[in-house]
Amino acid sequence: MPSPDLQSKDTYTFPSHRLQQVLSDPTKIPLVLVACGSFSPITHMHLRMFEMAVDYVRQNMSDTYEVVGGYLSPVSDRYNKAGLASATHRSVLPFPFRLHLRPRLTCILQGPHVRISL
Amino acid sequence: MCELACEQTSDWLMVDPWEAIQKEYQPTAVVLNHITTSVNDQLGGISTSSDPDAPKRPAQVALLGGSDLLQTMSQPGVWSLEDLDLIIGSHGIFVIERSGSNVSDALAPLNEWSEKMGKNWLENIQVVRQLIANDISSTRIRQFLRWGMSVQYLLPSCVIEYLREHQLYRDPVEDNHPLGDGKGKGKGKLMEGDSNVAGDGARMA
Repeated sequence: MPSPDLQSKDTYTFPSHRLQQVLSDPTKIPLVLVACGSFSPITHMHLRMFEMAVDYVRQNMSDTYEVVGGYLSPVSDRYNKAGLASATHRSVLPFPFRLHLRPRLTCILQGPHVRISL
Repeated sequence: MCELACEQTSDWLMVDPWEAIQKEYQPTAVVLNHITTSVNDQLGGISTSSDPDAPKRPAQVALLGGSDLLQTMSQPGVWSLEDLDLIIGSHGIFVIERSGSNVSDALAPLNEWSEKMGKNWLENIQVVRQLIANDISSTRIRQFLRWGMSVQYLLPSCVIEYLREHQLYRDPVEDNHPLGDGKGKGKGKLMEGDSNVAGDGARMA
């Protein structure tokens, strides 16, 4: 079994590669959504919560807010909930997976389902 | 798994591993502050135009969770009032309605506490109704895996692949298969309620 690599405090950098850096409408307040949880395992429900929240903001709060990013924050292993897999498994993409994933990921990102904007 | 799911199924969602790599429990309020500081101080905020000299605006960082999370917040003693005021009063919260967790029951005590503090938390609680109900719960997913049942179409296939490869959540448990022939030792019963989104009270316990 490949040993998954989890970022350490020393190598941690805040992920911002998918954060929308520029507002589409400069008069809006940029809004970042954060879901905290154990995600053990992550399901379509967790992911869809973000999509539902974005639709809600568009329909009800679009005069004020523009969603510019969404983060999942899996809890630490120190939170000993029954049935929790290790944070490494829950949170991070193991290194061998990253290599294996790249060609497929490229296909997905270039595919017809890409959301052009938030 | 979260990173796999975000990278493969979304073009905007990210995983912040900061909380997961901490040695100690991090209250949700601290996680929200960390992300706020990272976006607004470290990155300087969100730009108002593509001109590099354009002024930047600070982002508001809000919590997103299911109504089960709101329910834990409304239970006395589970969350500290200081943290609730930071999370709801300062950041704001988006609550996705889930079956089994009544939102209005949870709103009443929260409103009472905030009024006592001279605040109005309710205006910062956005309740998002599900037009297509989705109650996929991690607890049930783990049970399905233990029972050797299919979880196809309930979670991203890359996550299912990962679970299979690493043999996660396969530990035998006492509960019985719900689709069994009734000859099992116990009653096959799906567990009710699942706190996918962890309350800090549970963490502090």
